[in-house]
This record gives sequence, C-alpha cells and structure tokens, in this order.
Amino acid sequence: MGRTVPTITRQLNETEAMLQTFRRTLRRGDQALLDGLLASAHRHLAAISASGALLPFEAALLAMLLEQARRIAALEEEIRIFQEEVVRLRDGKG
Amino acid sequence: MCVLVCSRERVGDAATHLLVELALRGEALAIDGGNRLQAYPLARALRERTNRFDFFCQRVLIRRAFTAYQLLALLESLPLLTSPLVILDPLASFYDETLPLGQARWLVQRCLQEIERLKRAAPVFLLLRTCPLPQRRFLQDMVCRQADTLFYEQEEITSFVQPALF
Amino acid sequence: MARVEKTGWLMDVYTRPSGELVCWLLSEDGQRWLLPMDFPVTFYAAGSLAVLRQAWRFLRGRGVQLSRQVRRDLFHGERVVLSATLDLPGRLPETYRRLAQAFPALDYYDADLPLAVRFVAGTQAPLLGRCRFETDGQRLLGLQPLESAWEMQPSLPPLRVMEIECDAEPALHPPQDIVIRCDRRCYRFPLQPLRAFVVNLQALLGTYDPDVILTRYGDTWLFPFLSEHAPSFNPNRDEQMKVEFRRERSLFAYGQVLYRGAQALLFGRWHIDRCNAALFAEIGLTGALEMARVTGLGVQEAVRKSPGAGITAMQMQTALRDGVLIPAVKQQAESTRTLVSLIRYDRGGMVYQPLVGVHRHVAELDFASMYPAIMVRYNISPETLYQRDAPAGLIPRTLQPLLVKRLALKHCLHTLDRRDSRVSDLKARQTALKWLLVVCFGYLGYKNARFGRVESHEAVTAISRELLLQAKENAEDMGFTILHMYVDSLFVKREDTRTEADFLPLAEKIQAETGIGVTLEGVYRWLVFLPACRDQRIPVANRYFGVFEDGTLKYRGIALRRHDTCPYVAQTQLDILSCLAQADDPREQWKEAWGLVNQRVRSLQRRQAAIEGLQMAVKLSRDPQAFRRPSAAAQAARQLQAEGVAVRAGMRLFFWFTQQGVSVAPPAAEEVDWDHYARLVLRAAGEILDVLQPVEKKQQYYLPLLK
Repeated sequence: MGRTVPTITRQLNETEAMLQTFRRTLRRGDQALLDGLLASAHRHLAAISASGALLPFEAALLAMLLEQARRIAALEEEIRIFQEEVVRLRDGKG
Repeated sequence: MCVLVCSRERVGDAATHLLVELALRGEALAIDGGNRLQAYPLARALRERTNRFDFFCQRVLIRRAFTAYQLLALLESLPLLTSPLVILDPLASFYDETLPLGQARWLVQRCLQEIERLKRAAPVFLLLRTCPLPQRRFLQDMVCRQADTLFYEQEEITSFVQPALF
Repeated sequence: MARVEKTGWLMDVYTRPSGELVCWLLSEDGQRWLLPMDFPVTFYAAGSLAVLRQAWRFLRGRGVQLSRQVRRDLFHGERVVLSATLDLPGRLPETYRRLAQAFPALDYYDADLPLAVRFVAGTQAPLLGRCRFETDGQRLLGLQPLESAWEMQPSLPPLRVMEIECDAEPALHPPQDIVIRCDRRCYRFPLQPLRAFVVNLQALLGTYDPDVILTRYGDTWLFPFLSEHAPSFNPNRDEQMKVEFRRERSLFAYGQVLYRGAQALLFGRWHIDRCNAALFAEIGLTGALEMARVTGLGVQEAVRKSPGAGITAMQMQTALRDGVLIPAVKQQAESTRTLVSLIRYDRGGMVYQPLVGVHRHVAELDFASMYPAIMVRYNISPETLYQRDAPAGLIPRTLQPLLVKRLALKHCLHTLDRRDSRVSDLKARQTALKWLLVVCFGYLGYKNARFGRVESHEAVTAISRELLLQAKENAEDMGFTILHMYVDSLFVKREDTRTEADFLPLAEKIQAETGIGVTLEGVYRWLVFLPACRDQRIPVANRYFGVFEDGTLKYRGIALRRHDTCPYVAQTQLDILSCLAQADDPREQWKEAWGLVNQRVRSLQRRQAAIEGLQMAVKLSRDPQAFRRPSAAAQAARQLQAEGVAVRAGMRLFFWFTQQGVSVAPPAAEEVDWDHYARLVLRAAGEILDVLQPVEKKQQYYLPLLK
C-alpha cells in the first residue's frame, strides 16, 4: 500500500530509453548535445514532480529550456564583460 | 465477464489499451488488485488519440485494493454500474502465502459472486496474470471457469542466457 | 503463604498450555515471581444477524461467555457485535480460528492481539514499569501501576544477564566450545560430550538464575540443537513451559526480500539472539527495554520483530483503551479517484536535486520527526480524513506521547557532555523511539496495517511537500541559497554566514512559520554533493560527504554506507575522507588522497591485506534456484547449499572473490582475486575524488600486478 505511481526519475529514465532510436540516428556530436539536454532536466526533478503534469516529459522540456536560458544568460554576461574589456583597452590605447 | 490471462508484465499493457478505448467512449472504472496500472503510459496513450486528453483522463476512474479482503470489500461496496469495469490482476494478493488456502478459496468465491452481480448492469473485464504458484493455480481456474469469454495470451519465451564457459 | 504486598516490576506475561495467564514479576527484594492471574479476554464478531445467530449456537457450550453488544468500528461507526469472552486467554486463538473457519463471512475484531498488549491496556501497568502487586504466593491477586510508560527516567529492574557464545559460525563449522559469561565470570565448556555440557549449563542457570540470556545463534542453532539432542534440558525459569520455537521465513515487503531466522523464546526469562534481532546491535538491552515499555510488546517479541509491529501494538493499546474495535484483517478500501487525481497526489516527499560540487560553510537543518509531527499537528488519522475540527484521531493520540518523549530525550542528550555516563543509555532509548517514529508513517500506508489508509498517507506527504517549500521560501527570503532538500531536511548557505549562531535565525523562522520543530544538525566546514556515476552532469539526491566544523564526518549514499562493501574498501574510503577533512577545502588534499589510494592498491598487489577485511556481504534477493545468471550471490548460495547449509531469500551471505569466482570459506592468499579488490578500491576512490578534480588518466595510478 502507499505509493504506487512510479517516481519522476523513473519516468524520465523510461522516456530517455524510448528516445534511444532517435539518439542513435543523430551525428555523434549531436548525440552529446542531446545527452546534455536530457541531463539538464534532471536538475529540476522536484519542479517536474510538483507540476503534477500528466505527461512529465512536457515539464521536463520546460526544465531543459530553463537550463538553456540560464546558459544563455551566463554567456551574455561573459560577452558583456569581454566587450567592456575591449572598450577599456581600446580607449586606453587611443 | 471477459477474462484475459497473460503474463504479469502484459497485464498493465493490456489494461492501458483497453482503458483508452473505453475512455474514448465513456467512463470506465479500473480496480487495480496488483499494482499493475500504468498511470503515465495510460495518459500518454490517451494523448496519442486525442488532444482533449485532460477531459478524457477524467473519465478513467480508479480504485486500488492491496489485500484480498480489500478487493472483496471494494466489490461489495460497488453499486450497479453504468460504465464498464476493468479489474487488473485481481488475484495478486490471493497468491500471498500468508493467506491460508481455505480463506483464499472462500474470498475468490465471494468476489466472483459480486462480479456476477455487477456484470448484469455493465461489462466486466478481468485481466489476470498467470498464477506463479502451482498450489494456488486452482484460484485462477475458478475465475476462468466463470468467464463468458476467455482469452489466453502466450507467454513470450525469454532469451536463454548461456553460462560462461571459463 | 499469607497475602503479601510487594513493589517491583512487571517483566512479561504469557500463557501456559492450560490457557491461564502468567505474570513474571521482579520484586524490589530481588525475588522473581511467576504468578498466574485471572484475566478474561474478549473478541467480537459482526455481520449478518442470521450468521451471528449461527455463530452463537456454534460457540455455546464451549466455555465461552456470549453476549450481544454495540461497539465502535473506526470506519463503520457503531456496530452490533457478538461478544465472546474466555476465562483462559490461551484458548482464544484456537476458538477464534475455529469460528473464523466455520463462519468466514463474519468480520472479526480484537481476535489476534498480542497478549501483553491486551494486558497492558487492561491493567494500565506497562511492561518494565514499576508496580505494586499482591499475592498469596500462588496467584497474582492485584496489580497497580506506579509508573507510566512515558517516564523520562524510568526505574530499572536489576537484571541478571548471562551471555552464551559459540566459537564458530554454526552454518559453516560445527562449534567445538561454548563460552558462557555471567556476573563477571567466564566459563568455557567443550560442546562434546553433550551430556557434560548440558549438566554444566543447567548448573550455571541454577546458580546465576539469569533474567536475560544473550546469545549468538541461539535462535538458529543453540536452542534447536539442544532441543533435538538433549530434549530433557529446559532453559526456562517456568518449568511448566517448553521452549517455543518459531520457523524461519522469507517475506517480500517494502520492495525487498526480508529474512527472519528461526526463533527460540523462553518463559520466565528472556532469550535474545544478537544475530537474529534486527535493531539490537543499535539499541542494545537498554533500547530493547524502552521499546517493550512503550509498545507493550514483550522484550523477546520487541527485539525480533520490526518496529512496525511496535507501532501496531501501540495503536492497539490506544484502540483498546478507547473501546474501538481492532479488525483482524484490513478491509477498508480506497475511495474512487480519477487518473488525474492519482497522478497528482500519489507522490512521496519532496526531493530537491543538489547543486553538484564543493560548498563551504553549509548548514543542515532538519525537521524533527517530520512525518509523525505532521500526523499529530494536522490530526491525520483514517477516521479524521476530510473532516475539519475533528477531535484528535487514534493515530495522533498514539503518536503524541511518543513524539514528546523522543524529543525530550534528544534534547536531554544535547545538553550532556559527550563523556557523560548517561549518554549511551539515553542514546539507546532515543534511538529505539526514533525507529518507532520512522516506521509510523510507512504503516499509515501499509497494506496490512489495521488502521492504515492510503489517503491519509498521501495527505502526510502532501503537507510535507508544502512545508518544505515554505522552508525554502523562508530561506530564500533571508538571502540563503538552497543547495539540496531531501524530504525533511535542507542544506543552505549564504555568503556571510559561517557559524551555528548565524544560521539559528533561519531555523527559528522556519519553525515559527511551519509549526514543526526544526533543529540545526550542524554547519559543515565543507560539503560535497556527488553526481550520478553514469553521468557527471546529473545530480543525485542524498549522496554527499562533508566535515562539520568540529571535525566530525558525515556521508550518505557512498560505498562506505553500503552493506555490500567489504571492510577493506570501506576503511579506505573512510581514510580518504579523513585525509580530505584535514583541509578547509577538500580539493587541496586531492593529491594526498590519491597517494593513500595508491598505498592501498599496492598492499593488495603485494597481498599484504588481511583476508578478513576482504570478506563481501550480500543479501540474497531470491531463492538460489531462481537465479538465471551465475552472479556472485548465486555462486555463494550454491556453494553453501552444496555443503548442506539451508539458504533462503533474504539471508545475508558472506564470501570472497577468488580466481575461480567466489568462495564462502576464507581462501588462501594465492587464490584471492587481488585485481578485483584493487578495482573495487579504485572505484570507491573515484566515487569520492573524481568530483574534486577529474582524473583523465587514472591508469597512471593503477600499478600493474606483480607476477
């Protein structure tokens, strides 16, 4: 008795297993990117579970987008810093 | 009463297919006697058939029984239904070795009496897994004898693992 | 003998073959008493009136007093019941069994309760509790409790303890000698000739008259062996009784196979087999007495059964006192729900994935006994479901005093110096109560629990998830970063926060907002959250290691914690952690740690490691014939079977890895598969060290085996 519905972790692992043919057809470099995407969803298992989604993979896709947004924000910040450094150097020389 | 006898793993798959078809046509009540209901695959299967799947998911009603006594109490509590009844792995808890054989037999008899009552009003489907214990096989036979329609699904032959030579 | 009044302790109750109840008491003057007592017991049957009338006729004339009553069922409300009272408690099980066989359609109540639980509920005198009793030397005429089960400092009966150990593990080698310790004396007797050994043992039992016999393999070998080969030997203090033997069994519960060895129970004294008593290693005799005191289960039952049996006994006591019927079998079925509702609400506690890597100055905050506290505070009980302002339910009323006592003992422990002599006993008692609290939630959802209800189980987890989210919000409002959350604990850090005093305001805020007690487990100097073995990018819950500010290590989910890790590998991992703990940042010790690993690998390659440290332990997940692949466990099981040892699912097997596979007997040095153990050491080391700095070419540290 008690809990009978499988955990979100297990659900995601089963979904990843179902995607194996999709993954296999990709180029090697793209396979690594796909692995990274799927791994990023695992960082937000609590939120995926809490969403109560009937199809957890839809919530997992949102988690992957969130990680992508985080990465983009970090890269934008790096670019901003580099730009400021370039301007500073240019102005220093000029 | 329609009975399907298949492997333990197939009970969930068969229930998923059946419940999807029933849910698309109206309400269905699933009684899970052996923790075989696959909630997420059922939701996915409904999604593949309709984009109003939230609505159709609400049509699948579920009650779980974890012991043989609970299953009987559950069946006794049901009024005559207007929608089909699907019972998954009803004998799972009857195979528990702590349940005396005589008691198991009596409980199965009572459950079958309740199913007879219920099937007068709506179709009843039983999805049985093949009995794993030879000494309890008679319980499965009791259910099969009561069936109006009986299907047996062959068990898949699992691949043989050759022992290491060295 | 004239009627006398004594003060002492109620030790145990049992029935004799005649069916009469016997109380074992220990008076303050040191005398042991085995006194029969009048104690009628009642069970009930309910159902169709026609069948009840037949049952009445069936029971008439069988020494049972019958009456019609109205009693309360927790789920069905008031019910008309047939009440059957027997003067001799020992006759109830057989009477019930026959009635249930003849009338299976009836519902039965109070029919299979442990005798001690009935007695404690009926007399209010707890086991191991101080009491006043009257006797004429032949019978117990009166009993008044002087203590409750909830005393913080209960009086302790002066027990006489005898220890009996054999010089070998009987499953593998027949013992030659038996060592008996009592009252600071030690005796060693050869087992053969058996007659001489039995005479000596009987003499010691007569001389020392122990209250407790502690053994190794007493359940599974010693007493069965003596019963078979020396049937006239009787270790009971009550000479009218024989040793009660119970068969071994394997059962599947909570997703795993559990094995319970055979049991040998005594009367008028207790037998505890250290190798067959699940919690005894952790709680000892002090904890076992505490468990018996609060649950009402006899000491021999309490140490052998799971804590779940203890919680059930407590619920039964509450029900008996309240006049609530206790069903013999669980019948309450779940209400109807939709697929949507099932997916949304059938979930466990919240698990918030950790931020993988090294973190400095991290606090761990724990909710104190979260689930039981929720059950008490929110009145979660099967009969209070969906009810606002319901009176306190059976489950909360059962748990309340247990929770209060455990928290009080824990608080007391915190105030004592580590070297205080009271610490070990307090710890044992506190641990015993902790285990009862740990299982009480699981039993709310357990299929065979008399008062379990799956909706109540789900309500508790739903509330726990909400409380943890509240705690997260409280922490983030105060500027903390949430590193990890796991069901009832959270790990947080903040830039300017280092000491316990800095984190206390957060603990107080969470406690105030949630209404559940929160304790600060400690502040880690550093803490490392580990990723999944299969992919370093994937975080894994509850898998970490760290060192507190006071230098204490804490670790979860690594090889060191697993039962199937051999001592050599476990010690290596522990030594690595100790090495890392010397620094303020574990990454600074990375090279030294690998140096230590190399030493351990070299010792294996030179065959300098002790064989005992390489012994593996594994639990058999199924019966040996069910294995399809020749795994190590399967090979070990088959070897034991070949030697005539009975092997069952759930048993723990011990073996070594050898060149030929495995060996259940200690192998010679040249037979050991040293390479395999070296790989185990490297794997355990990598588990901890890889996250600190990726090792691209681990092979450079792996020295080839010397030929």
